[in-house]
Amino acid sequence: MEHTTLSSKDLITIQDLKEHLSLLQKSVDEDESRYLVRVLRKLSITRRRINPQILAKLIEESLKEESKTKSLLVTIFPSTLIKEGKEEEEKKEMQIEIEKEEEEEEEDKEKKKQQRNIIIQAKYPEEKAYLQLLSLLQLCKLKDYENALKLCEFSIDFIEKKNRRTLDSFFSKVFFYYSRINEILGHSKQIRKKLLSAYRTSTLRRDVSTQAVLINCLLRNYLQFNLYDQGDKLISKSQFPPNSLNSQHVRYLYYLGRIKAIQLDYTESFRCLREAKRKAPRAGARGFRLSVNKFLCIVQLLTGEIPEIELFMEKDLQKYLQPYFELTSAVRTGNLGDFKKVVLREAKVFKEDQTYSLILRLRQNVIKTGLKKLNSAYSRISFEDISKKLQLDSSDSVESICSKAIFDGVIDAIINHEEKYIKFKEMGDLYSTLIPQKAFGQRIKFCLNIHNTAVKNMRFPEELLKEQEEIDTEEGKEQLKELEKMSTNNEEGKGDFDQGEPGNL
Amino acid sequence: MLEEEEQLKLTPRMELIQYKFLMTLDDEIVPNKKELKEKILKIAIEDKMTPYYSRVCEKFGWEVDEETLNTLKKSNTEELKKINELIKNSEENDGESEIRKAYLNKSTFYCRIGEKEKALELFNETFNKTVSIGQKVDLLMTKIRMGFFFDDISLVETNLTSAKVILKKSSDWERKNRIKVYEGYHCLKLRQFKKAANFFLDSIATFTANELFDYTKFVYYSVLSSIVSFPRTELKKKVIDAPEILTAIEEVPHLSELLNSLYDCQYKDFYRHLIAIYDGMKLNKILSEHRLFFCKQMRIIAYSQFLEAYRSVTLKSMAETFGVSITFLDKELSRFISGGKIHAKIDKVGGVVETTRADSRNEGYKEIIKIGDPMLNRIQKLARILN
Repeated sequence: MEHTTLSSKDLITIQDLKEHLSLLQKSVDEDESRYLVRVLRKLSITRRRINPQILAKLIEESLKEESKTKSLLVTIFPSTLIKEGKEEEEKKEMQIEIEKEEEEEEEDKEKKKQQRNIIIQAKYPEEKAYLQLLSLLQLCKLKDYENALKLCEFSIDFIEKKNRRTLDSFFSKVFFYYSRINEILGHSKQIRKKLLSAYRTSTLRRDVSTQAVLINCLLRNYLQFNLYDQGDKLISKSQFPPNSLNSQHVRYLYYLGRIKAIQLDYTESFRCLREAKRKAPRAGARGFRLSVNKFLCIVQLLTGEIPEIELFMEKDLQKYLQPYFELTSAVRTGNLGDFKKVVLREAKVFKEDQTYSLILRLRQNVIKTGLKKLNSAYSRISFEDISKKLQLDSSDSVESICSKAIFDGVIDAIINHEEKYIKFKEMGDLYSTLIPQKAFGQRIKFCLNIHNTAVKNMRFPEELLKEQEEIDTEEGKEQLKELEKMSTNNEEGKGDFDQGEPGNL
Repeated sequence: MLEEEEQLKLTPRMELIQYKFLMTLDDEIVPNKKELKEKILKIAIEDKMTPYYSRVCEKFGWEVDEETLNTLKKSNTEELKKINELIKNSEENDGESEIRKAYLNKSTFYCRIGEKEKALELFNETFNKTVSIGQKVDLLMTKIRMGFFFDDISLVETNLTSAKVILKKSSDWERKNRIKVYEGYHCLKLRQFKKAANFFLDSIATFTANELFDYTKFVYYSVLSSIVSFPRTELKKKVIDAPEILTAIEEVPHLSELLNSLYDCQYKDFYRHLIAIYDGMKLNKILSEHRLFFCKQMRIIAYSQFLEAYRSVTLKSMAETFGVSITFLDKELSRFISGGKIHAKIDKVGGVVETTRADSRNEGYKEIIKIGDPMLNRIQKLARILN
């Protein structure tokens, strides 16, 4: 970390960060969580703007000397990072000729010098946690994982002891980074226990955001080591909080989809992955979207459908999805030779993406598609020809493959064992059966149902009218009653005086 | 006036498109690349096409001859000076039409030397100064030709639509027919063979768009696009017996033989000529991208035509009629049948192909279910609002 002066941009950032700290204080004072939420929402932007110098300055000015946070952070971002550049600034002033823009620049600098002297002391743990978080992000940016781990553990202890609900969002973020750093350093196995116990605690405390983050961290941990059973057990025993952040929900769906795919539940997996894709950000998060698309493609092929070509056509992902595109073409044409070639050629890519095991299962699908194509083109074909066409290795296995396919309902055919050929059943005349009638009947019923529901729902204004009428008639009745009263009064009145204005009725 | 119109028609030089394309092909297909290079350079130097010259040298890695480049640049600047003077003069002294002529001059100059952006700008300016519909359309057609020259499809499309809109109100049949030819050429580029065929055959009696391509080429395009899109009866009436086509068809090798062998069911000859035409298509800029598609369609038409006459036919006799091997035929047929293009079934054990008459009722039923179900899903989604 070099010793450099703070640029004017940095000074603006420091100002903003101090504003954030004051917002956090306000949030705790007034017990309004929206300021806190606002600060955290800007975290991704803030993360890009900070550098060690800013942090050093901020730590020095905002934290009290005796706080443990300060003592730890100061070792990481010592205040010697910032040169006291006051003398240099004076030199510059003398050298500058008087020009308009530079005059303004000087004015700005003066202002900032003044503003810098406004010190905000971090009195609440929220602010300390925020500073810890910022330092953590900076360390991760600099890839200083040892220090980051230390800071993480300190932060976790710090926040856990306080047990304040306002610290929940910080807690979840710290845990996320904790899990990630350990993954990078290769210590994932050891932290599993800690994550599980933290999950239990957060559930007890109804800490929604930390719960979500921890479930995702655990699932990621299990998937890294291919512990799909354990992941499945975790999912079945726990309940993912429904009111968590969208980003955590998306991650959860992704992990869920992957686990279901391994467990052969392809329809469920497809549904989860598709939802994850829909909820993921449109631009950005490229790595995530890429991975989701890859798994979507494979799972869709495993369900027996061919993915749409739009899946492969997203501009920034197109290059990386090329092997999957070739795989899909091979499966679509039922060409086993091509399929084998693609798998062999791109084995490395597939293994990296962790889709290799799923792809090996696709071999059956290729054969199925191939048989279906033969079904549509041929009425009778011998086993030898089938083995040649589908590029299967031996013609003996062909018979067994065909019989399995017929049993699974992929094709409709009869095997002639003695003469070694397969005879496909003809489609026949559908109109001579009752099938069209039933199918049409179903659909017509459905449409009529919708029509009736729509009509019913459109009657609502009529009811309003009825109510209106009722109200009117009631009013009319009351008016009549009053009229009668007045007339009886008149009679009792016995006189010719005017009983006030007629409008009194 | 007429002189300018003629000049306008000749820019940009459309032969250059073809030459440039041929240069991009492999050496073995196009052996006379040296001649082509000379031709291109000759035209470029003749018309003083400085930007085009540098572009083309860069693309093909030819050495830029500094001398020629300098002479070209000099002559360009001289001409430009003269033109600008003319414009100034006419703006000060003469009337509207003179000003228009001067601007037209300048835009033609830019178009001729191959400077796309400036030319388009100036054409737009000239367009604003032009009054008569015919001249306006001429300008638009030049822009369309520039679109063809620079492979700018959006330029072509926008100008085609504007030209058609303008021509709707006029009764200038000559220009209307010329626009049809342009449209047909554009459809050909986009593989819309049927549309292209319709456009070409409509304007075949009054072909005047010589600036795009000559009459022989026009007949070549018309026949190719119609042979793949029209059924037999229409093909016979509009193409095989059409006098306009008959005059020029002999000049294109293999074309009339292709047409007649298909109509007369001489399938062996048909295949031979198809291969020759396929090779020819490789050398044509817009057709080369579609040559595989074209071949596939022609094969499908031939096979369906053949099978229409039979209930069942042995693979052996079918292979003999087409002059191909049984394995090849089997591969082709299975590919097309499973793609749903031919209605038949192969009995490999007995070596027979049996045709299945397309039952329109069943087909219609399947179509209804296939198209109707997604639509019902969408209605279902809307119906959720009701609750």
